[in-house]
Amino acid sequence: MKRPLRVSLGFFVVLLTLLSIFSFISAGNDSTLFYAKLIWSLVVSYLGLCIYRYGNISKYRSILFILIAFFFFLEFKLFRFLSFADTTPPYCHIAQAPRLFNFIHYQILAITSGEWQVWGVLTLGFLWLLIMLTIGQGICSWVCFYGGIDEACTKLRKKPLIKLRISKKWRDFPLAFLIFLLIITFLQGRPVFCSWFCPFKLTTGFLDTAPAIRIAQIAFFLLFLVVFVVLLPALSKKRTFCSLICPFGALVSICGKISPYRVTINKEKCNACGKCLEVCPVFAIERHDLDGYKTSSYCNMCGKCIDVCPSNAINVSVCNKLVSTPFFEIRDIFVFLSLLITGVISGSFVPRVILQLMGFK
Amino acid sequence: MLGLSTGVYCVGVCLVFFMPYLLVEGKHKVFENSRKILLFMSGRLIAYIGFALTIGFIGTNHRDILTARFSHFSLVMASLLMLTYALTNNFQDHKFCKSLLLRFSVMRVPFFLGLFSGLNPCAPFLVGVTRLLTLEGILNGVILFVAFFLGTSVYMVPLVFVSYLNRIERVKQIGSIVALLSGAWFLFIGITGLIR
Repeated sequence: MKRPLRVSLGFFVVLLTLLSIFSFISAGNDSTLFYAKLIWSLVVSYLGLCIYRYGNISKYRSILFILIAFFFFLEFKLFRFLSFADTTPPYCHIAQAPRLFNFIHYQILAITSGEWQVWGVLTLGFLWLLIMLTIGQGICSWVCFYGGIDEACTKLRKKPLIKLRISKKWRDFPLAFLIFLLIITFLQGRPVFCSWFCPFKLTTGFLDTAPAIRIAQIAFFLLFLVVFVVLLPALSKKRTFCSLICPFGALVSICGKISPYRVTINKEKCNACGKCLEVCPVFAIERHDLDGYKTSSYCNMCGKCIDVCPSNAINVSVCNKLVSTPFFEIRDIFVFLSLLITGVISGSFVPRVILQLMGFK
Repeated sequence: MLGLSTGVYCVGVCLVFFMPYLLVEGKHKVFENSRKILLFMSGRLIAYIGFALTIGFIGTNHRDILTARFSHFSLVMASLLMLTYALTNNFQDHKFCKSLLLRFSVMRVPFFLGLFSGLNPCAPFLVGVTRLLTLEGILNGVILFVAFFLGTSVYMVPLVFVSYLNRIERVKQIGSIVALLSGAWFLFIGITGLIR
């Protein structure tokens, strides 16, 4: 639903102000970096303005999402080829999920030994909790840079060539995969997901020393990358890695419930056209005989169903209650929080890439 | 003491095989699940005693073969059993899977799962083997491993409460997929271990 220009500009100004403050604090004495962060804050805020003004969440969210993934790819995966300064990749949040037990164990050891670590449970864990409390499962469609790669591949074709249907049982495959990884990683004490299954593993870390095993690992990586990140998303326009493999997505589907925001379908307004089911990229809409269409716990709040619904039956709710205030709707608040978090997190690496592309070191 | 101190790890290794099985085949009542758990543990006990007796007879000369080659072999067997069970369970509508389930109902017996997973030595188990070699007499070795079994089995007691999870259909379905993944993974590990 479109918002009046005054309201849209209001959100734009507040968002830009907050992101600018963050840019100022994080840039420190580096004025060049500060201006680069300011430019990026402007981009994020402008896309937010478009969301509010034109009422299309998914289109502009998608642009931002794919841009972030693109810059992430440049910075942390292609730095060797593009002569960028060698940067240390961020702590991978996907690896966090299957190594949860090990991660907590090591951090408890670090804390009890007095050796505080920068990316310890108090910082990364706190950050993660904050994101869960605010936008919950929205992290998968607004923040995750890997998801942006998957989403970019869904845009390669205008119409799907194959129609993928997943039964309710097999939709739980990521959750079963997460449980399997938790147990195996805990037993072996090694990052099994990173060593065998991560399709974004374009570096040579975690590879086995034995040549035959190394070949098998690379074959697995390529298989997952080609099939689930490129081919299936391109052909079906579904985010198959995010919805069928990603263990972090499975973890978020459970933990994201602490966030009050949900995408809810109003049964009274719904005319059962099924468009939401068709466009949902993560198979998160279920059709029930008695209850009609419902969103499942795998919904990551991308906004596609909201934009496509002809009867405006779908909206963001608070604890499944569709409420609104006199001035704005709940989804306005959700979009604002999502853009703020996305802007802050992407602001930590995107401006640096822009500067490096422009020749600054 | 070895069993009590390392039981969590031991349970983790066995649990990978048994937990998914229990989630799918388990019953809603605690008493009915206890029977399956006892069958599984009896399989483990037989495996431990058999292993202790074999080590006692063979001695140190062929210990490496027993702990390396044989462990990978038993891992392959356990995972094949788990994989076959999981495939037939997940694709029950398929004619072949249905007939396989009916003909080989023995695969539903947790005893064999316990037997094969018990023959696969985990790290605490190998520590026990090292201790075994310092003991004189086969009987002492058997007593050691029975005590080790009892120590680790304490951690299996909470499994009886899985019956509360069995009531949720979704949990059973997830359990069957975990069984499939575990079976495939350990089959791969077992085969690569045998090849190396």
